[in-house]
Amino acid sequence: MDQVLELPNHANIIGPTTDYAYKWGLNVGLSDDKALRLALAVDELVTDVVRFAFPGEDDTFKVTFRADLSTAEVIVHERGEPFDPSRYVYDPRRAVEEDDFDGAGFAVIDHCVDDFAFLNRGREGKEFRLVQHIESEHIADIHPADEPDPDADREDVEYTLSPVEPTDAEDIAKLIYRTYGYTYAREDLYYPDRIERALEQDEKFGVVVRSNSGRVVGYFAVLQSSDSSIGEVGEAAVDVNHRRRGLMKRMLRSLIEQANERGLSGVFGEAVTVHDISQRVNHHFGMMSTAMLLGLFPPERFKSLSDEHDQPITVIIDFRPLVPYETVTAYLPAPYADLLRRIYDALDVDDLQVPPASEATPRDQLPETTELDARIRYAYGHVVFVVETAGQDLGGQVDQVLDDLEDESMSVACVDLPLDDPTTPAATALLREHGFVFAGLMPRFHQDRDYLRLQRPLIELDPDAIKVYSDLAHALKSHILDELSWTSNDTATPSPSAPGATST
Amino acid sequence: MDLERHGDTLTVRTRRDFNLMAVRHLKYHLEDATRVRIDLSRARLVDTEAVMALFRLQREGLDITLLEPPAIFYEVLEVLELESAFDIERLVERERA
Repeated sequence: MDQVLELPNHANIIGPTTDYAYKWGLNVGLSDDKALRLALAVDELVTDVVRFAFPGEDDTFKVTFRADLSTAEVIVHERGEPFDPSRYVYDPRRAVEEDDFDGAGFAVIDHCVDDFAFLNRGREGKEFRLVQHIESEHIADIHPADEPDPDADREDVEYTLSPVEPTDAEDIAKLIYRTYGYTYAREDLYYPDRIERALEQDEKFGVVVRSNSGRVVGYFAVLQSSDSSIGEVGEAAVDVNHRRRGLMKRMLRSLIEQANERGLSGVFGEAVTVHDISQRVNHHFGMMSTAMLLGLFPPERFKSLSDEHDQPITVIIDFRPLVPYETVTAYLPAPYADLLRRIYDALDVDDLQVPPASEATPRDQLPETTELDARIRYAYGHVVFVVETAGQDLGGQVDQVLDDLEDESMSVACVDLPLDDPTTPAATALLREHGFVFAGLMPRFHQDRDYLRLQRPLIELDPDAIKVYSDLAHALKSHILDELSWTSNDTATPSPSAPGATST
Repeated sequence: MDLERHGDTLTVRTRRDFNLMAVRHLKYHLEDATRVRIDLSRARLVDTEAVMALFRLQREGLDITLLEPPAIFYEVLEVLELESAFDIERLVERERA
């Protein structure tokens, strides 16, 4: 969950903010040295804002602290004077000879953090993003060799299922390493301290299976979303010596029970498309395909799954509501109305209310300024813009941020638009002019609201390397490729008609 | 910031980091001091505002001595390529034996 400080532009907040950044860094798992460097970078940035962003005026700015298990990010957002940091390059000769230290703070920041990005948000101001990678010890370094499994050849093994505890972290990392070698997509699972931290902070819950000897032979977990009451069924492993004994089904049953007890409204999976095995498993457990996200993850994370393809990995979002949908009000943009209706049908939405076009906000009545949150996953090479208010400058803001992120080698940009918002059809039309195409429905993804996700691949992908399983996934793939004018050998052309849409 | 004045020597001890606020305090209390001893034993950070202030005060002829600056101070000097602009041996008082 984000921690946000709203601060006045007074010099006396520099020290406390720096102290906070240091302590926060330690709490999210940074080493003392990296937390200290993050704190110095925050000191430099906040000092710059205090001194230069609002000349002669009292104003406020925001500092957001955002972390996951492998990354600590601090975002400084201000709406002060226009500023282009690329014009301030530090020159030591100029500093000594002319007493001109312009760019010195940025030089120190660059040195102190692993990633430093500047995003020009137009009327919405400017964002400076400081990223520090959280270092952890890999299970292979902690335990290079695993002991033999005493239950490996036994037929009469008894299994005990129990909720996963932080103390299981090392056993889980061992299981993952034993089962997948270096090929498991979720890198965090190779690091016991990250698993432990996630469990302690209630970021995930799950189940472990132990055999007679006490060895962990199965693990299945749900990662709770930070801004919604849904969870991702994203981590699963069964020891090779204990497969075909129904452990996966037993674990999933237990997991769904836990998810229900915790009041989750739905669970989803991000199934890779280098093969269709994960998609099959998801569908076996009642999940429906709702979106196809192109090039979401870098290829090296899945190396052994597919040696033939080294392009970024496309995923299918599979979703299962745990709390049934009742009435859903959705402003469906015309080009995507058919497919969205099909997806809602699959999710058993009986009462889909699509307001008429007259109730949607026309494009020329969109507010001037867009409010959005750019969620950048530097390690994965993608960015998701979650739109709070769609305005006339939406396309421009998104383009500007992507320009600013040019050095970060992004593979895809996504925009999430709330479907219950009357501005969504107009915002969709606007984004289509900026190269965005359909990605699908992200059910209950932010604050339990349904979002339309649009995407813009920033690299070329081979469509034939994207393997999909369900009818809906085929329909999604076909529609998206058609919209991008990408040709594939195994897709059909979708129907362009869209009756019953909310249009503007 | 704790301050002591003996003749034309001002001795200051920062309570926290050597940053913009500390620089402002220091300048405010300088008055006619010609020598400044800055005890940084409680500072975790020394930022570019502090380095710039040291550089400028030194240029103005002030005799500055730093006591126990944190390691990151030397790193900031290195990043800014200012090691040669400061006479470190003279600037930093080594710990007494």
